[in-house]
Amino acid sequence: MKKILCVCITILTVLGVQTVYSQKVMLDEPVKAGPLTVFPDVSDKNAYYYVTDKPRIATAANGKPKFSFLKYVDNNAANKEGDGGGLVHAVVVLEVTDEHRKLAERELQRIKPGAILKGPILFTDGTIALISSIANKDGEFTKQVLGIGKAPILDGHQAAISVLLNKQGAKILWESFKTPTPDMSVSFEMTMQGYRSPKRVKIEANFEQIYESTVFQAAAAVNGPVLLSGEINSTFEDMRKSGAIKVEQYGEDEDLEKALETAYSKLTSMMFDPASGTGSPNLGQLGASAGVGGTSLLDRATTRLNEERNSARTQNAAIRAENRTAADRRSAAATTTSTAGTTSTAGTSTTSTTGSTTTGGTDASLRDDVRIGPRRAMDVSAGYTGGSNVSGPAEIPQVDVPSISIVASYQMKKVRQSGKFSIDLNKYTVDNLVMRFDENFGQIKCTDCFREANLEDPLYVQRDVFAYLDGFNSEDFGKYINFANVTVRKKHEGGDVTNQEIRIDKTNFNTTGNTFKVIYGWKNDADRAKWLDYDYKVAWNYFGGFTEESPWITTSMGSVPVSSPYVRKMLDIEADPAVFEEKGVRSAEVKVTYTLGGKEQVRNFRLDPKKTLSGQIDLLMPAQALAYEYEINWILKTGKTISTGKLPGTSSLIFADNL
Amino acid sequence: MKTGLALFLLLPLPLFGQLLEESSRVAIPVKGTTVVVYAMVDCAHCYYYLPPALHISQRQDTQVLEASFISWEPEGGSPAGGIFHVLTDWGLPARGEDSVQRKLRARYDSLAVLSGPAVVRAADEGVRIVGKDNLTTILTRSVQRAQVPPSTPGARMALSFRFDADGVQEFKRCLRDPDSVTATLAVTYYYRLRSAHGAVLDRPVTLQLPFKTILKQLNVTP
Repeated sequence: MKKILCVCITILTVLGVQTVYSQKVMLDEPVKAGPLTVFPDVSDKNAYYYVTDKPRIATAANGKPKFSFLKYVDNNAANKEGDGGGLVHAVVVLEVTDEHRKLAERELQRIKPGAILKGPILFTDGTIALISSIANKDGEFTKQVLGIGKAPILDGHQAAISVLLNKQGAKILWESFKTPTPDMSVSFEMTMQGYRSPKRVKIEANFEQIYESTVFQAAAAVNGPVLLSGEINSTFEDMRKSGAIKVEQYGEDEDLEKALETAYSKLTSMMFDPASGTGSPNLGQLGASAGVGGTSLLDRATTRLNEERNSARTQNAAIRAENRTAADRRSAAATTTSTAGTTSTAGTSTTSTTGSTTTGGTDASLRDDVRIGPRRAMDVSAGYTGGSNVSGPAEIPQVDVPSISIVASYQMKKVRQSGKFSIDLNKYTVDNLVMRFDENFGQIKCTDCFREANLEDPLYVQRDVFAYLDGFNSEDFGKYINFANVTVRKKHEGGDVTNQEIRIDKTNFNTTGNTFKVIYGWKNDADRAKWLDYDYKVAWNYFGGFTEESPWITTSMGSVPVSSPYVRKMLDIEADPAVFEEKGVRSAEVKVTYTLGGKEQVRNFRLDPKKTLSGQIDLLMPAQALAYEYEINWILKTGKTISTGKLPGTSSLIFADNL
Repeated sequence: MKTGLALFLLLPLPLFGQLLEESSRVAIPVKGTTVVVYAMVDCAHCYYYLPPALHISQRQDTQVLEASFISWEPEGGSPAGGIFHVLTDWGLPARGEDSVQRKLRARYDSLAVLSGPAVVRAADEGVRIVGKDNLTTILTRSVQRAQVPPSTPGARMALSFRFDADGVQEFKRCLRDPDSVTATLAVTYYYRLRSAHGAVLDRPVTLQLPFKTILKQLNVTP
């Protein structure tokens, strides 16, 4: 009893579930209404819903497409060509235009007068993908692809797609967008839910009686044969005729075949498992001779396929005969026309140089299932602008001869069903329909949507200012310079001031190798040329605490030459020992005075004939000048002192023996 | 040989679906092609047509055929290559449907209503490129995506092919000599028929679009 209950619940679940889904369209009865595919409402056959299958680039409020393609370069000083890439961003809307709706409404009236178009079908699920060799996810030209996956399911809803391209990808796609059909199409696979037609049919069966069938008894045995679905259905059909399976039909117009097919499918799924788990038998099962009628599964399937092929070929023979008759008639008419001397070509040609298909084809895989298509692929397309050289009626195409036998095979389940099987098909059954539709981005008519950019952003740019001490070495620091202080001041356009300072002393002079740097950045400096201008000054601190500071100097150079205004100059002092001997000089003292920063500086040097009569003293002087005063005092052996008094000097040599 | 003839497939046959009456089959010539029409089993005067042919899609606004080819030379260590992008669809335009319905009414059923294309299901094998030439091999290895083909009329199917340097050379050669091309784009659909004996049959219909047709209509900008 419990099993019966479970079976009934299962059947009701599969076939009879009425969802809370508010839209109820009939999937069996699609109608092509102009540009739209529409489905009728289950309860109101005059009400139709259309499929929103017209994706396009969304439009912004200003009328421009919601699309952008940015091609960028990032300067790279190390290479001849900068680094770069591209960024494509598009918003795709799934929408049917008013024009499409009106066309569909008009066409719907032709098909079903009085019918109304109520609105879009609500998709239950869907995916969106890009079809592109360039913007291919994980492809050679992309760094990242975002936005693919879940698709919008409501009419008018939008989806954003973003593709980050590498440099080559950006270049190629940029060129591709110059063609009418760029290598970028968006592909939707959308699922819609609807209902299949109800059948006023009730089918009942008793499992005990079903299992009594000879075929099923054999299949139930250990290592029993694999059965074809057709063999199972055939057995069920025999039972229906014998009354083991009861069919109650409430109306005369019902499609009994479909109802029975449904019932048989359910019975099959309850009693059998697909062979080898999939319905495709393994090689052992294919060749096994023990089976229905003592023949192998392969033989039985081949027989079934041949029956179908023979049926199709018989029908095709009749079609070919009809085509020949029609061709003869046309030929006769053409001859008559030609004889009469007319120049019309109408009705005389059924061949074409650009035919889209050929009967039989050249490929084995197409030999038997080829469909004869039009003579020219575009001949039947609306608005095709190319000329057509096809003017007469084409031949009647033959039916397709199946090259494969679509049969499933089954093995009987180990667990037997029991009790009664009952299925009431007087209800709509829920089903899903998956629809695919693609759309190319096309030529985007929006110059603003395509931008090329150099990523050198002033915001991120910084100015390096280098400072070098000119003409100095570390010895100078040890002898007369304490340090130099370089101050850089940048007055920005916006009023901000950047101050940077470098202190150069003996220690960092040696460690930096006489290269010093300060930086300033970008602060609302709209004028890029003026941004390069800055001020600097240098302060020097010399031995003795003397400081000299330059005024502010404005420059745009990247380097600041730092030169001391004062340099160390050597003053040579020489005396002739012979003169000193002749004049009886015991010693002499040279006193040099000069002014530095307003203060008098004094240097002394003693000349002693017993020690040295030659020497140097250093003076800190402006680089371009040498001016000092000097005084020589000779002390004679007699104790007398002779002095020159203060004398001006401009030479780098003082002779101290001219007394 | 037997295995070549009889392939066992477990196809997801739906429990329900549109069923067409095999005996009602009529073939109606329209503008150089022939449209095969069937009556629906449980709907009086309701007729549906089989997918007639694959086309190169046309943009609705400009009527431009939706196919493009670009190629590039080697540069900065990147090899030469090319990309071919094409969109296809099938179906009859509204005028074509009007024409079929008129002829249907005039010759077979005065109350006939051509409702649209038959409900079809794409074969699991999807889009195929068949042929025996070099281009067939190149196209097959170059196609970037081969999804389940659309099963509704007018719904476009985009295909993108990425060629290497050799592929570009061959494609360009074929552009100069399209008549030598045997490569063909093929899509198989199944529709359901009720035979005269009451059996339900799944019948294939294969649509083809030869690449030579595409190449002849492809404008290549140097």
